[in-house]
Amino acid sequence: MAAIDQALVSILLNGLTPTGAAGIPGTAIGTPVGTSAMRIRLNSTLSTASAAGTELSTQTSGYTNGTGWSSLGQSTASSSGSAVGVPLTTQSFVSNGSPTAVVSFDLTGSAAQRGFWGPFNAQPVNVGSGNTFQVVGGSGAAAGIQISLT
Amino acid sequence: MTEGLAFEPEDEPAGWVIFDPDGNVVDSGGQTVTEASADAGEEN
Repeated sequence: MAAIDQALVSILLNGLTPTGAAGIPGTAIGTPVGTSAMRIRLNSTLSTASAAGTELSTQTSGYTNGTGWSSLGQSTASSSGSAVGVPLTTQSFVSNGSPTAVVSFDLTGSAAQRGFWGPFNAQPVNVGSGNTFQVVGGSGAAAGIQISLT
Repeated sequence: MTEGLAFEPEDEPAGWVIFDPDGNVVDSGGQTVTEASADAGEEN
Protein backbone atom coordinates (compact mmCIF):
# COMPACT_ATOMS: atom_id res chain seq x y z
CA MET A 1 0.00 0.00 0.00
CA ALA A 2 1.54 3.22 -1.08
CA ALA A 3 0.83 5.61 1.67
CA ILE A 4 2.91 8.73 1.57
CA ASP A 5 1.64 12.12 0.61
CA GLN A 6 3.27 13.47 -2.55
CA ALA A 7 4.01 16.82 -0.92
CA LEU A 8 5.83 14.97 1.83
CA VAL A 9 7.84 13.09 -0.79
CA SER A 10 9.11 16.42 -2.07
CA ILE A 11 9.80 17.70 1.44
CA LEU A 12 11.88 14.64 2.23
CA LEU A 13 13.78 14.74 -1.04
CA ASN A 14 14.44 18.45 -0.82
CA GLY A 15 15.56 18.17 2.77
CA LEU A 16 18.06 15.46 1.94
CA THR A 17 19.52 16.76 -1.30
CA PRO A 18 21.42 19.94 -2.24
CA THR A 19 18.38 21.80 -3.46
CA GLY A 20 18.98 24.85 -1.27
CA ALA A 21 21.01 27.98 -1.97
CA ALA A 22 24.62 27.27 -2.99
CA GLY A 23 23.97 23.57 -2.73
CA ILE A 24 22.93 23.33 0.88
CA PRO A 25 20.12 20.91 1.70
CA GLY A 26 16.77 22.30 0.74
CA THR A 27 14.06 23.45 3.11
CA ALA A 28 14.63 22.04 6.57
CA ILE A 29 12.12 19.32 7.14
CA GLY A 30 11.10 20.77 10.49
CA THR A 31 9.64 23.90 8.96
CA PRO A 32 6.98 22.62 6.58
CA VAL A 33 6.01 19.63 8.69
CA GLY A 34 5.79 21.72 11.83
CA THR A 35 7.64 21.78 15.11
CA SER A 36 4.74 21.17 17.53
CA ALA A 37 2.98 17.91 18.34
CA MET A 38 1.72 15.88 15.41
CA ARG A 39 -1.89 14.77 15.14
CA ILE A 40 -4.01 11.98 13.77
CA ARG A 41 -6.91 13.03 11.62
CA LEU A 42 -9.73 10.55 11.11
CA ASN A 43 -11.73 10.50 7.93
CA SER A 44 -15.05 9.15 6.73
CA THR A 45 -13.69 8.74 3.19
CA LEU A 46 -10.43 7.35 1.88
CA SER A 47 -7.39 9.53 1.84
CA THR A 48 -5.22 9.43 -1.26
CA ALA A 49 -1.65 10.36 -1.98
CA SER A 50 -2.93 13.74 -3.14
CA ALA A 51 -5.45 14.68 -0.49
CA ALA A 52 -6.83 13.77 2.90
CA GLY A 53 -10.23 12.18 3.18
CA THR A 54 -13.25 13.98 4.61
CA GLU A 55 -12.56 14.58 8.30
CA LEU A 56 -14.98 13.27 10.89
CA SER A 57 -17.24 15.81 12.51
CA THR A 58 -16.80 16.55 16.20
CA GLN A 59 -17.95 13.52 18.19
CA THR A 60 -19.58 13.20 21.61
CA SER A 61 -16.16 13.16 23.19
CA GLY A 62 -12.60 12.43 22.26
CA TYR A 63 -12.56 13.86 18.75
CA THR A 64 -12.84 17.47 17.60
CA ASN A 65 -13.07 18.35 13.92
CA GLY A 66 -10.06 20.42 12.92
CA THR A 67 -7.97 19.21 15.83
CA GLY A 68 -8.13 15.46 15.65
CA TRP A 69 -6.19 13.35 18.11
CA SER A 70 -3.46 15.64 19.31
CA SER A 71 -1.86 13.97 22.32
CA LEU A 72 -0.25 11.00 20.66
CA GLY A 73 2.82 10.79 22.87
CA GLN A 74 6.42 10.30 21.79
CA SER A 75 6.75 7.25 19.59
CA THR A 76 9.79 5.05 19.84
CA ALA A 77 12.27 6.26 17.25
CA SER A 78 13.13 4.15 14.25
CA SER A 79 16.46 2.37 14.49
CA SER A 80 18.25 0.62 11.65
CA GLY A 81 15.23 1.10 9.46
CA SER A 82 12.64 -0.28 11.86
CA ALA A 83 9.02 0.83 11.67
CA VAL A 84 7.67 3.56 13.93
CA GLY A 85 4.58 2.71 15.95
CA VAL A 86 1.90 5.37 16.39
CA PRO A 87 0.36 6.33 18.78
CA LEU A 88 2.28 5.78 22.00
CA THR A 89 -0.83 6.66 23.99
CA THR A 90 -4.12 4.93 23.21
CA GLN A 91 -6.59 7.22 21.45
CA SER A 92 -10.36 6.96 21.43
CA PHE A 93 -13.61 8.80 20.81
CA VAL A 94 -17.25 8.23 21.68
CA SER A 95 -19.44 8.24 18.59
CA ASN A 96 -22.39 10.54 18.07
CA GLY A 97 -23.07 9.14 14.62
CA SER A 98 -25.70 6.81 13.33
CA PRO A 99 -23.16 5.36 12.86
CA THR A 100 -19.89 7.25 12.48
CA ALA A 101 -17.92 5.62 9.66
CA VAL A 102 -14.16 5.58 10.15
CA VAL A 103 -12.36 4.89 6.90
CA SER A 104 -8.87 6.33 6.95
CA PHE A 105 -6.39 8.35 8.94
CA ASP A 106 -3.77 10.96 8.22
CA LEU A 107 -0.73 11.56 10.40
CA THR A 108 -0.50 15.33 10.18
CA GLY A 109 2.10 17.87 11.23
CA SER A 110 1.26 20.91 13.32
CA ALA A 111 1.87 23.04 10.24
CA ALA A 112 -0.93 21.06 8.59
CA GLN A 113 1.40 19.21 6.25
CA ARG A 114 0.02 15.74 5.85
CA GLY A 115 2.47 12.93 6.30
CA PHE A 116 1.54 9.30 6.13
CA TRP A 117 -1.98 8.09 5.63
CA GLY A 118 -3.74 4.79 5.40
CA PRO A 119 -7.08 3.00 5.41
CA PHE A 120 -8.21 1.19 8.52
CA ASN A 121 -8.41 -2.53 8.07
CA ALA A 122 -11.97 -3.66 7.38
CA GLN A 123 -12.98 -0.08 6.62
CA PRO A 124 -15.51 1.39 6.76
CA VAL A 125 -15.53 0.80 10.49
CA ASN A 126 -19.02 1.75 11.57
CA VAL A 127 -19.15 3.00 15.13
CA GLY A 128 -22.64 3.13 16.57
CA SER A 129 -23.80 6.09 18.63
CA GLY A 130 -22.48 5.82 22.17
CA ASN A 131 -19.86 3.27 21.27
CA THR A 132 -16.15 3.96 21.61
CA PHE A 133 -13.64 3.67 18.76
CA GLN A 134 -10.12 3.13 19.96
CA VAL A 135 -6.73 2.92 18.30
CA VAL A 136 -4.35 0.96 20.43
CA GLY A 137 -1.30 2.78 21.70
CA GLY A 138 2.02 1.32 22.67
CA SER A 139 5.74 1.25 22.16
CA GLY A 140 7.12 0.10 18.85
CA ALA A 141 5.29 -2.85 17.34
CA ALA A 142 2.56 -2.72 20.00
CA ALA A 143 1.09 0.46 18.59
CA GLY A 144 -1.95 0.23 16.36
CA ILE A 145 -0.41 1.97 13.38
CA GLN A 146 2.99 0.99 12.05
CA ILE A 147 4.81 3.30 9.67
CA SER A 148 7.75 2.16 7.61
CA LEU A 149 9.74 3.22 4.60
CA THR A 150 11.07 0.54 2.29
CA MET B 1 -4.02 -7.08 7.90
CA THR B 2 -4.01 -5.25 4.63
CA GLU B 3 -3.08 -7.45 1.72
CA GLY B 4 0.24 -7.12 -0.04
CA LEU B 5 2.25 -5.80 2.85
CA ALA B 6 5.82 -6.88 3.33
CA PHE B 7 5.81 -6.07 7.03
CA GLU B 8 3.56 -8.40 8.98
CA PRO B 9 4.18 -8.88 12.67
CA GLU B 10 4.03 -12.47 13.87
CA ASP B 11 1.64 -11.66 16.68
CA GLU B 12 -0.80 -9.23 15.22
CA PRO B 13 -1.88 -6.75 17.88
CA ALA B 14 -5.29 -5.14 17.78
CA GLY B 15 -5.14 -2.01 15.71
CA TRP B 16 -8.58 -0.68 16.52
CA VAL B 17 -11.36 -1.76 18.84
CA ILE B 18 -14.97 -0.71 19.33
CA PHE B 19 -16.47 -0.91 22.81
CA ASP B 20 -20.11 -0.54 23.75
CA PRO B 21 -21.05 1.75 26.64
CA ASP B 22 -20.65 -1.16 29.04
CA GLY B 23 -17.11 -1.76 27.94
CA ASN B 24 -17.78 -4.90 25.95
CA VAL B 25 -15.90 -5.37 22.69
CA VAL B 26 -18.28 -4.92 19.77
CA ASP B 27 -15.78 -5.24 16.95
CA SER B 28 -12.06 -5.08 16.33
CA GLY B 29 -9.59 -5.03 13.49
CA GLY B 30 -6.02 -6.05 12.98
CA GLN B 31 -3.11 -3.74 12.97
CA THR B 32 -3.09 -1.05 10.36
CA VAL B 33 0.26 -0.89 8.62
CA THR B 34 1.27 2.03 6.53
CA GLU B 35 4.12 1.32 4.22
CA ALA B 36 5.53 3.89 1.91
CA SER B 37 7.64 2.40 -0.81
CA ALA B 38 9.25 3.10 -4.13
CA ASP B 39 5.82 3.12 -5.73
CA ALA B 40 4.57 5.83 -3.39
CA GLY B 41 1.66 7.56 -4.97
CA GLU B 42 0.32 4.50 -6.71
CA GLU B 43 -2.69 3.15 -4.95
CA ASN B 44 -3.12 -0.58 -4.86
